[in-house]
Amino acid sequence: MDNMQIEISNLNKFYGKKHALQNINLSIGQGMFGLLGRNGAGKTTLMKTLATLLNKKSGDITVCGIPIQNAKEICRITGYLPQEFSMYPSMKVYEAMDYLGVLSGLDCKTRKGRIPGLLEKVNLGDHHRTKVKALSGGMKRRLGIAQAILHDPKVLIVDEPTAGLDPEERIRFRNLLCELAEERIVILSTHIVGDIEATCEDIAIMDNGKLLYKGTVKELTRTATNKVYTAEIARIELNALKEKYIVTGMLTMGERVNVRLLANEQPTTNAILCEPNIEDAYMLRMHESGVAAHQLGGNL
Amino acid sequence: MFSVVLRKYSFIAKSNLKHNFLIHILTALLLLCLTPLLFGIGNLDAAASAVPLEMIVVLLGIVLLTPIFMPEQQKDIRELIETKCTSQSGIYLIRMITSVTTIFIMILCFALFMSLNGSNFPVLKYTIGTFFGAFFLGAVGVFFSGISDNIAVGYMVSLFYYVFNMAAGSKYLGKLFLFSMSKGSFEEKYWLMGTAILLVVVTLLIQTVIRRVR
Amino acid sequence: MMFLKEFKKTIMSLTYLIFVGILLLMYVTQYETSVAKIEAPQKGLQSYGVKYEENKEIIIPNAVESLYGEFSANSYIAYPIGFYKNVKLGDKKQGEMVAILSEMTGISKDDLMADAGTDGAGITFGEGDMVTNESGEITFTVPGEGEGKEVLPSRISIDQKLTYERFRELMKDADKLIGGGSKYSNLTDFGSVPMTYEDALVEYKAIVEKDKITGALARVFSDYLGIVLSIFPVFVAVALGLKDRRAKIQELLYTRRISSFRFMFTRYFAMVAALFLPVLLMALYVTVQTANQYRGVDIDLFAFIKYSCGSLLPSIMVSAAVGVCLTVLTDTPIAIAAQGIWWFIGINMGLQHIDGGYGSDLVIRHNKVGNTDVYLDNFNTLVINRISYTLLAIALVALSVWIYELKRRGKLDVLGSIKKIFIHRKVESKA
Repeated sequence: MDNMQIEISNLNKFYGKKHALQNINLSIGQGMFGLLGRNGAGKTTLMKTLATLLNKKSGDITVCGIPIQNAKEICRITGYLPQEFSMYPSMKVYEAMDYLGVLSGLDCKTRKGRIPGLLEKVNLGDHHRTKVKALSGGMKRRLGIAQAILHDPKVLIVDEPTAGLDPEERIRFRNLLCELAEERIVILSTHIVGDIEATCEDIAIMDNGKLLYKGTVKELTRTATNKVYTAEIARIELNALKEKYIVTGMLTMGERVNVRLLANEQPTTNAILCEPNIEDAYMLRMHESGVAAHQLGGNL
Repeated sequence: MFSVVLRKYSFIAKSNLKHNFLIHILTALLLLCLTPLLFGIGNLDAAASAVPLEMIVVLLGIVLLTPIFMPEQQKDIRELIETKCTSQSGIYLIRMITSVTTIFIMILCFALFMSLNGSNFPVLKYTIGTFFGAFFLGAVGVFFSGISDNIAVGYMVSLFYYVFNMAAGSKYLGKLFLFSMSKGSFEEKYWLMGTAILLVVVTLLIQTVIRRVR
Repeated sequence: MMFLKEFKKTIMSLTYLIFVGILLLMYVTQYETSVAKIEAPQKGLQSYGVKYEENKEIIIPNAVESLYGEFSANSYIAYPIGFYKNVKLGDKKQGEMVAILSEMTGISKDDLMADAGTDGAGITFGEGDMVTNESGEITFTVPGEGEGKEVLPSRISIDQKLTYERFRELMKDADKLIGGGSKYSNLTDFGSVPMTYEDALVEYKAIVEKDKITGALARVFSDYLGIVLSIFPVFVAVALGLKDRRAKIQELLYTRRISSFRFMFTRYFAMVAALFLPVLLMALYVTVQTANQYRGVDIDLFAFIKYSCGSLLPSIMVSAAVGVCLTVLTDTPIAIAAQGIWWFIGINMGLQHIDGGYGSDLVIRHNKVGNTDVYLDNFNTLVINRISYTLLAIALVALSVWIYELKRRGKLDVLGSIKKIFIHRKVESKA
C-alpha cells in the first residue's frame, strides 16, 4: 500500500474554556495502536477528531496523505466504532449492515458480496434476521465492528472496544482486531491496561489532554526496570505501605500480604526486585507526569 | 453517475419509510379517519369545506414533517451515521421529500373524498392551500426541533402556533394566518409556503454550521 | 431534597421555558385585550345586548320557521361535537321531517313538499360567496347580476292546537333525525329578546355583589389559560421522561433502591408544582393590577388564586399525568398525540357552552365577563368535574407507579411484547 500513516502535529481542541487536547504530536503507522489513559483523558476526543466527528482548533492531521479537512475522503478510508454502538432499533442485523453500506457508498453487488462473510467473521452469521434492539451488548459490539470494516477502510478507529464485555468475548474481540490490523491501521483506546498489553506494539498514554508517552510497549516497560518490588508483609503494615508507595498489586494470604509496588529504593528489607510489566510502567509514567499522588494511591 | 446517486437515495428513502416513518403514517391515517367524526365533510359549500381541511387535515404537517430528526435523537446513532460518507443533510432532505409527498397525497385524497361526498369546492386549489399550511406547520416543527435537538420542542412550538391561530385569529399573525381559506382569502398560503421553505433551508444550514464548528 | 432536585430539573428544561412563554403570550394577547373595565350600565342606551328567555310566544314561531327553512333547502346546520356540520337528509328522513312540520303547522304534507321544490327554497347567490368575518358580520358578494335568485317559502303559520310540551317533543324528534347537535337541541336559543336597562343592571349587580368583580374576571383568566394548560404540560412531562431514556439513566433508576411510589409521586408533584408556579405568579400579578384599577371598590383579592387552584390546577395535573403515564409505559412521545387528540375533541365540545355550563369538559370554558348566575347554577357540576379530573390524574400516576414497578422487575416491555406478537404471527403464517 502507498501511504499507511497518520500524522498529527500540534493538534489543539477546546470545549469552551477546557483545553481538551493540548499540542498533540503523534505519528501512527500500520498495525495496532493503543491509546491508553484514564476516563476523561481526551482519548475519545482525539478519536472523534480523527473520525471527523469533531473539528480541531489548530494543528494539522493527515490520514494516509489526506488532510482531515477533506472530511468526505477521510470517511471513505476510515471506519469508526463508537464507545456505545447503536442503530435504529427496529432494523434487523442484515438490514442495518445493508443500510450503513449504502451510506458508505457501496453498490448493491459489493454489499451482497461482503455482508454475509463479515457477519460470519464476527460470529453473527446466525443472526441476520435478529433486530438490533434484541442484541446483547457483546453482539452489538460485534455488529459495530462488522459495520466499521464494511467499506474495507484503511484506518479503523475503535473507542473502548472491550468495556462491558465478558472475559471470553473480550479475548475474542481482541483477536479479531489483531487480525484486522494485519493490513490496516487500527487505533483502539482503552483504560484497561491488559487490552493493550495483549495486542499492541505501539502505544500512547494520554492524561488531561496531554500526551504523556509515545513509543513501544517494550520501551515503556523498560522504563520501570529496577523500580518494581515484591514483598511479603504483615497485614497491619499494609496501610502504612500504601500511603508511602504506589501499590500495583497485592495478594492476601491469611495474615500476610504479598504486595507488588513501585519504589526507587528497596522499600523493605525482604523486598525483591522483579520484572516490570506494562501496568507498573503505566503507573510510574502517570506518577512522573505529576498526576496527584492520592489518585494513584501513593508515592515512590 | 446520476443513476448511482438515484439508486442510493431511493434505497435510503425506502429504508426510512419502513423503519422510521411508518408509525407517523399510521398516526396521520388515524387523524384523517377521525376528521369525519368531528366535522361534517359532505355537502359543504366552498367556505365550509375549507374548515375541516384547514382545521384538522393541516395537522398532517406536524405529524409527518416535524419528526424527520427523530431517528437520530440518540447521540450514538447520529455519530455513527455522521462518520459515513453520505451527507447528513442529504438524508434529511430525502426524508423531507418523502414526508412532503406523503402529506400532499393524503391531503389530495381527503379533498377528493370530500368532493365525492357532495362538497362543492375547487379541489386542487384547496389541496394546494391546505398543503402549504401543513408544510408551514411542519417546517416550524423542523426548525425548532432542529436547532434545539429536542423533538418535543418541535412538536410543542408547531402545535402552539396552531392553537394561537385558533385563539388569536389573524390579528397578530397577518400574512402567516393559517385559516385564511375559511375566510375566503388565499394570499396567505403563498406566504406560508415561502416562509416554510426559508425555515427548512435555515435549519439545514444551521445544522451544517454546527457540524463544522463542533 | 429529591423534590427540590426534580423541581429544578423541570424548571431548567427547554420545554418548560417554552411553556412559560406560551402562558405569557396567551395572557398578553388574549386576557388583557378582552377585559375592559366593568362599569354600571348607563341609562338610555340603544342596546344592552340580548338575553335568552324561555318564552313560548317567541320560541315556537322562530324555531318552526327556522326548521321549515332548513327543511326546504334540505340543508341542516348542526354541531354534533362542536364542529360545524351540514347535514343533508335522505328521502325517508325528509319524509319523517315533513310529518313533524305538518303537525306543527297544520299544513298538509303534500303542500309542504310542493314548496320545497326541486330548486330548493332559500337564497342562492349564483357564483357569489358568503364570508363571515371575526366580529360575526356577514358579507355577501354577488358577482353577476341576475344570477342570484330568491325563492321564499310561502307563509308559515302555527297550528293553534300545538301545545308547548308537544312542540318540545317534536323538536326533540327533529333534532334526532338531524343527528343531534342541531339548532333545535337547545330551544332557548330561539327565545332571544333584547336586554333592557334593568336587565343589564341586574347582571352588573351580580358581578359586583356575588363575584366582587374579580370573580368574573378570574373566570375569563381561567378560560384562556385553561386552553393551553390542558395540553402543553404534556410536552414538559414527555421531554423529561424521554431525557432519562436518552441519557440512559433509566436502567440506573430501575435498580436504585428507592420505592417506586415515592420516586414517581415526588417527581410528578415536583413537575406539577413547577408548572403551576408561573400560573400562580400571573394570578398574583393580575390581582395587583385589578386592585389598582378598581381602587375603592370592594373586590375579592383571592379570586384569581382561588380560580387558578380550583380550575387550572386540575387541568395541569391531568395533562402532566397523561404525559408521565404513557411515557413510562411506551418510552415514546405517543402521549403528545394522545393528549393532543383528547384536548382537540375536548376543546371543541367545550365550544357548546363557551359562556359557562361546564359538564364533563376537560377544558373549562367561560369566555364571557359575567354570566354569574350561569356559573353559580352550574357550580356543583364544576366542582364534581374538577375533583374527578384531579382524581383521574392521581390514578394515572398511580398506574405509572405500577407500570414502573413492573419494568423495574423486568416484567414488562411493551414494545418488546408487541414485537413478540408479530413474530409469533409470522411463525404461524409460515407454518
